[in-house]
Amino acid sequence: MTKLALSHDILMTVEKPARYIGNEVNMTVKNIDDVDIRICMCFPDVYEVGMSHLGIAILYDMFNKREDTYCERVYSPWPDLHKIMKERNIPLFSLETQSPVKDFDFLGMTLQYEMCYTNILQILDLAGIPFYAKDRTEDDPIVMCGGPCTYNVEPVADFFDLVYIGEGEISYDVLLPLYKEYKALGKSKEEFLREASHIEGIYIPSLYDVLYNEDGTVKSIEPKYEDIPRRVKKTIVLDLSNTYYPDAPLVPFMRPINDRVTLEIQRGCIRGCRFCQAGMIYRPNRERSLEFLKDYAIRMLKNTGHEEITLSSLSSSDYSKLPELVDFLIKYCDERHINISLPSLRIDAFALDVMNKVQDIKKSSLTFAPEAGTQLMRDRINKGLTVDDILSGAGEAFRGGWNKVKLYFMLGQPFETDEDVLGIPELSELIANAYYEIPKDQRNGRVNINASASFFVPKPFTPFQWAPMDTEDEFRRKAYLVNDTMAKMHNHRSLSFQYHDEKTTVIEGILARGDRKLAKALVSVYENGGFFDAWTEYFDYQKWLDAFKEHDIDIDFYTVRERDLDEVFPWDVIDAGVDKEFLKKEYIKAKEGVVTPNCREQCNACGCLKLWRGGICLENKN
Amino acid sequence: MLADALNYGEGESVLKTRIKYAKTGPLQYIGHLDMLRSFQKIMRRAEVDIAYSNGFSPHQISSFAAPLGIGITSEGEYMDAEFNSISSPRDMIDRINAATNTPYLKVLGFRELKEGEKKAMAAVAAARYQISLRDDKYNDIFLKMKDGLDAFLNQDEIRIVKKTKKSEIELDIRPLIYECEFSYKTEHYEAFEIADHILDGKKLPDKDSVPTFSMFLSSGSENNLKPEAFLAELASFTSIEIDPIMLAIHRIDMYKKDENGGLTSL
Ligand code: SF4
Ligand code: SF4
Repeated sequence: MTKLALSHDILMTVEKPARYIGNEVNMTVKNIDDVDIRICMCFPDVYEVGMSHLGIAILYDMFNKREDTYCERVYSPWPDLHKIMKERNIPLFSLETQSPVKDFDFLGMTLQYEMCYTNILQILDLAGIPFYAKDRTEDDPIVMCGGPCTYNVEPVADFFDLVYIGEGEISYDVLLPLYKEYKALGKSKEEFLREASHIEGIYIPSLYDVLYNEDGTVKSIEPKYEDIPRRVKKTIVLDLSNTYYPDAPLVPFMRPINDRVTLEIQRGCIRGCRFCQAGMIYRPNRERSLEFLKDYAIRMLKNTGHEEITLSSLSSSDYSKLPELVDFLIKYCDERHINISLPSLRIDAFALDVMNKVQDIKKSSLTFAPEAGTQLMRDRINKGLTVDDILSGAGEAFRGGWNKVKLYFMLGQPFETDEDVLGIPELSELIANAYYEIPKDQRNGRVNINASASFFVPKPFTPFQWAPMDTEDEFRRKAYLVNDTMAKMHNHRSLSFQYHDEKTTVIEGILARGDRKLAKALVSVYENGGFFDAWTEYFDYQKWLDAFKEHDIDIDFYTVRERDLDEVFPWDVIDAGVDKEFLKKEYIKAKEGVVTPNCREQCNACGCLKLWRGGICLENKN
Repeated sequence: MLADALNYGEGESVLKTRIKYAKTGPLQYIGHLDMLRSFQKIMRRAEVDIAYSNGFSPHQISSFAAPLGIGITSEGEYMDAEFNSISSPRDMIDRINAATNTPYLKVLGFRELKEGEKKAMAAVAAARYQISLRDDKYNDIFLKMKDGLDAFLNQDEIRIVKKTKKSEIELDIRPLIYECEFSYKTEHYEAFEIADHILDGKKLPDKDSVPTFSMFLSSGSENNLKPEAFLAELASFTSIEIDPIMLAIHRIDMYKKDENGGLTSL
C-alpha cells in the first residue's frame, strides 16, 4: 500500500478525509521510476468540485495513455487541512503516489472561474513553489494552466511558466516529447520554454513585455525576441469523433458534485449571444458523431457503474442528432435502471416529450434563459428567444402537468434601461397568467415561478468587452427594483426572485478584464488569509478592497470604464479565432438592437473560417 | 417490510443473499454512506442481476449490518442484497471482486439467506475486534494495560456513564464483554490478501507480531459496546491515558444469536 501522505491523526481530524487518500476506482497506477515525465493536474478548488470536471478527466486519460508519462492529481486542501499543513510544514502531495507536488516535472492547473485565483496561490504556497515564475529555479516544476480563464490570463500570468490556450487534446503530444528531449540533453527551463513558445497554443507570459500608456491602458504587448509569435492562436480539435475521451473515468468514493457519466456531445455554440464568452471562445461549433457518443455512453456506464448519465455542451438543443441520441439512451438506460439527467433544453414538444419520459413532472421544473426582460434588450444581446416562444412552450408544459418554472436573467448588461429591468417581473407575471388561464381542473395547483438574476460581467472576446460594468450600487438598485415590483404583481404569491452577490461580481469584473498589474494584489489577498473566494463563506470583500488600495489599483478603471473601440486589450496577445473587428461590429449592432443570425442559418464571418476548416463553418456553404 | 415487498417488480421472486467483505487500507477513511453508494456502483460494474426498486430513481435493494466507523478496518463486514438470479457463490464473488477495482475492498463470502432469516442489520448481536497500536512507540502503554486486564475483568460490574443526546445513563458494561485477551498477533492483512487466502488458499504474507488486545463484545442495536470505549475504560482502570488516535482498530467478524442461544458468524 502506498503510504498516505497524511498521518492517521490528521485524517481523523479533518472534515472529509476521503478527499486526500486517492485510490479511487479507475485511478491510474504507474511506477514513477518507469516514466520520464510526471504531471500533476490540479483543479484549484475542493475535491468534490474538481473531481467533477470533464476537462481534467480527458487530460488525465490522455496523459496516462502515454507510456512515458504519469499524470496524477491534486485539489485544494480545504481550510481545515490547509491550517494543519501550514502548522506542521506538510508539503502539498499528489493523490496517486501521495508524493510532493514540488517533485513533479509539470504542475498543470485548470482555471475555470476567476474566483479560484487565490487558490492558485494556495496550491503554490503549500507545494513550496515560489508564486512568481521569475523566482523559480530548475528544481521547481513547470507551472502551467489551461481553461476558459486563460483567454485573459494576464492577472495571473506572472504565476505561470506556460499557458495552454485552447483544447488540450492537440499540443501536448508535441510539448511533452520536446520536454523529454530537452531534459535528456540537460537543457535549462528557459531554453525549453523558448522552444515551446513556437508550438501552437503555447503562450509563455515571461517572453512578452507589456507596455502601458500613462492612463494605465495597455500600449502594446511586445515579444521579447524575434522568434516569439506576436499572438498565440488557440488550438481546437477539428474532428471530435476521432480523439481522446475517457472511457473509464475516475469514480470517487465520496460523492462528487457530478456523480454521473458526462457525455460531451459537442463543443462550441452556433448562437452568438453577445454577453457569452463561451459562445465566442469555443467557436466553431463542432459535433461528436452519434456512433461515437453511443459507444462511449455504453463503455463509460459499464466502467464506472454510475446510475446516471448526463449530456454536456453549450445549447444542447442545437445538437443535430439529439432526438436519435436521446432515444437510444432512454432505451439503453431504462433496461438497466439508469437515470438520464437532461441538460436544460429549449422547451418545445420534443423537449417536453423527453422530459416526460425521464423526469418526475411533479418534481421537475421548466427552465428558460431569456437573460433579459424585454424584446429590445434580448435583441441587443442577440438572445433569440421571444415572449411567444416562452409562452407557447410554457403553455404546452402547463397543460402537460408542469407547474414549476425557472427563469434566468442578467442585470446590468450594456444599454439596459429601467424599462428592461422591469421586464423581468412583467415577463414572470405573463407566464403566471398563462398558467391561470388554463381551466382549474386541467392544471396542477398553484404555479411556482422562480426568477433569478446574476449581475453581468463583461468578458474578453465578447462583443461586450468594451462595455462598462454597472457599479455595485447600481446592481443593488436594479435588484431591489425587480424585487419590489415582483411583490406588487397580481400573481405575486406565485413569483419569487433571487439574485447573486454583487460584491463577488465586482471582483470578477476586475479580474475578468484585468492586466498584469493585478498580480501583486492577488498575492496580498492571499497573504492576508484570503482563499476559497468562490465559496461565499470564505469570500472576504474587505481583503480585496484592502489589497487594491495597498497597490494603488483603481477598481473603476477595470469595471465601470467604457473602453475606447481602439484600445489595446491585455488579452490581445491571444488569438481566439473571432476577429476583434467582428466583435466590434457586434457591439455596434447591440447598441442598435439589431440581431445576428446563428451559424447554422448563415455564416457571419467571425474569423474562425479563416483559421480552421471544420465544424459548422464547413456546413455553411454560403 | 410490507413497503419493501410492494416495491418489487411485478411478481418476480427475489433471492435474498448475504455478502461478507473486507475493507482495509486507505478505504478505512471512507464513511458508511459513501460505501453504500459505492457498492451500488460495484454491483453495476459487476453486471450481476441485482434487484431494483421501481420509480423514477430506481435503487438496488440492499442493506448493511452495523456501520463501520471512519478509521476502522474490517474483515467481517456484511451486506444483504436481493437478486433476481444468481450463479454459484464463487462466481458471484469473483464477479464482484473483479469490479471493486481496488485491492482494499474484497468480498469473502456469499450465501443465500435461509427462509425467515433476519436482516443482517437486525441480527447483529456481537462482534470481534483486534486493537493494536498505530506506532510502536506506544507499546509500553499496552503492556501496562495488559497487567491490569485480569483485575479489570474480575470486577462484578463495570459502571460507565453513557451520554445520549437527551440524557446520561449509567450502564454496567461487564455483561457486554464476552472475552478479552492480550497477545502478540500479526498486524492485520489487507482485503486482497485475505480474499486470496480464503478463496484460493494462498499463503498470507509474513508480517510482524505486535501487542494486540483481542475482544469479543456485545454489539447491535441494543447493548452495543464500542471497542474503543471498552479500551478507554480499561485504560482508566489502569490509570493510563490513551487517545483513540493511537489505536488501529480492526473488526474481525460479526455474530448473530443462533437457535441454541450461542453466537455464530453472520
Ligand atoms: S446559446 Fe447563447 S448563452 Fe448559450 S452558449 Fe450559446 S451563445 Fe452562450
Ligand atoms: S466562421 Fe461563420 S460559421 Fe464559422 S463560427 Fe464564424 S460565423 Fe460561425
